Amino acid sequence: MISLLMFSSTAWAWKHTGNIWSRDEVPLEWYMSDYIAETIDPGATEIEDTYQFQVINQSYQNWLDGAPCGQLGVSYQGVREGHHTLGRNSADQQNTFYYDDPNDEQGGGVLGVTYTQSTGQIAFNRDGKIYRYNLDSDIVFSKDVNWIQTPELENDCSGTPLEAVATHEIGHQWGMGHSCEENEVSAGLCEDQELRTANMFWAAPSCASFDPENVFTGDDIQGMTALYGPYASFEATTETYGGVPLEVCFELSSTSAISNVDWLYGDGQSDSFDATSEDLTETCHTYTEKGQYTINVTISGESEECDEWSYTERERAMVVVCEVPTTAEGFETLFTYEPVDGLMVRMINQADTTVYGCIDEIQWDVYNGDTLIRSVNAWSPKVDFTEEGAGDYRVVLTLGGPGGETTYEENITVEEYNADAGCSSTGGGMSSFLLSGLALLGLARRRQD
Amino acid sequence: MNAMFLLWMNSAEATTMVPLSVEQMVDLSSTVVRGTVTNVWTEPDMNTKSVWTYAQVEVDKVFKGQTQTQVLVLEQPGGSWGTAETIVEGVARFSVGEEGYFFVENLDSGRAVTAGMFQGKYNVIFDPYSRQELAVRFPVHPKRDFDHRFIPLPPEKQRMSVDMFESQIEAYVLDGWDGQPIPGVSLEKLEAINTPTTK
Repeated sequence: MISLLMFSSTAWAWKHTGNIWSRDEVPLEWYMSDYIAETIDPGATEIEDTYQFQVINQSYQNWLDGAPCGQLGVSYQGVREGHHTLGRNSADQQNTFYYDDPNDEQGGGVLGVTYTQSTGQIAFNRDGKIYRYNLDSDIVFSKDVNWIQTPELENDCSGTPLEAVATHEIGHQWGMGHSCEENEVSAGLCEDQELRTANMFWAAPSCASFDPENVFTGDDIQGMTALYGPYASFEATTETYGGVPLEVCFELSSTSAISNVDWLYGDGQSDSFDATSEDLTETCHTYTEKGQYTINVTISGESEECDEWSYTERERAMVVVCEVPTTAEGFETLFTYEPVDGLMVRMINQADTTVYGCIDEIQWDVYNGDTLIRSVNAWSPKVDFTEEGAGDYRVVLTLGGPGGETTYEENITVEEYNADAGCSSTGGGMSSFLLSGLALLGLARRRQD
Repeated sequence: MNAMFLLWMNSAEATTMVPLSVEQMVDLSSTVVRGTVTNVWTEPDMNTKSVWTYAQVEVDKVFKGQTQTQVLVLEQPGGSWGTAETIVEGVARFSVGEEGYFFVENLDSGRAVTAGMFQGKYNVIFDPYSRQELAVRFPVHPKRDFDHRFIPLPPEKQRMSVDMFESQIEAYVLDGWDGQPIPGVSLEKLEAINTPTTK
């Protein structure tokens, strides 16, 4: 009996590439190219006697042992004689491992890449993502990497453990994506150690942090189990991208018997359903504040292969709820301006950009009297008034997005400005320019549509 | 040719990387520039049956490499071409009009890629708080659109002005390669790239 413990849904973030092997293709057949990396196995003549071959076997085994509920399987098919010099081919339907990047596609900082080709045939649609069946998946390890063999880890920790990278790439070959990407780490969205120390984390583990006895975190295992074990999926049946308030409905589906469903909507609200509930598969939730929301659903049930099971499906940033574009914190107006040099002025956009996707249209219109003289669609553009000369102009900024459209206009005064001297040549210097700008703020008019 | 690509359909490629410091990216790049993307397009690679994305960059300032460089074409795996689609995680994404810093590694295959994939591209955005231009990195999921105009302002602690960033680059270029290995690049290549200046 394999029993998966219940867990905190918010902890899990595994991601899939959207490619999966058909059950008919399991056990998965794989090959080695006919090349021995001298730096890994100096002097070796038979590929099957080498560490670079053994580590592939071990890395496959890591997944087989780590995710038994996934019912994975592999089958080694032999060496492809005369193949290394041809390089990889994503359409030959032979899943092949290459060392030293024969096509020279992988530059500095890249350790290994999995190249997976799809048949194009749709396997299923889960969480709005279409999964397609694989045709071919090759794994290429980079050259000029100081690979460390697992048995040598205790004595030599000067490079990168090959087993860690091979296991990671094989994860991709099965269909696993990265637990976190770099920007999620820097944005503070990847604080959980289950994610940061997952084998499927975007960056390879350091030699010191790789433990061959504990290759995976629960996040890796859950992700693989969700791909090949019993699963349920959910999708939104209404729009997931819009203005507040936004009601989003979700529908759950599974080939397995589900006994409990727990939803976390990402905004602190949740719902739970069990067998006594009127409807176990559908739920709706209304979002009342702008934001980018991650949806978690934890499902538990039973299946013949895994007995009791439970896992969480999570869709990051699935729902984007927007308000009308507004000023960022600390600003009173949607834009301001400052002199750059001569009669060049920088328009300074002060709109809130915290939710990527809530602004997708921008336009600056500059008027001389009632005559439109410029239209610009950059974020904070520099506008050159040399042609028109110094004087007063009216600037209208329009920002649009799913939450609506905002238009804000302001009269600006353009004066000759000497950037080297840091002053306006018409007297009064920078301070008078700013004062005139501040005075004009009183004339500004803001309109929200 | 289209018929051939019908057979390829789409593919997903995923990558393991090591985080590169700015110093390492300077060391492994033959060219480091500030410039503006003026064109983006895709082409198929007939050998590997993958789609690649190309970005033309008009150069404003050269920090490393041929100083007379005016235009560069950068390459990254992934993209759509007809019915073929190659999805690669971890690549740099481009949009026309974006201004940024580009660390360019010339591969022996002739391809010119951003160093460490997405790591070798920084966008220039304007910070309304400090009234300065910032250098920021903003990798977007392969299946989401990338529009440089709407890149979010990074958290305050992570904001780096372009002046500071350029000073870093210039210092590292001046210092030259420190002789330390970088995964994925041979010592010989690092030495060749950095021959004009040695530490």
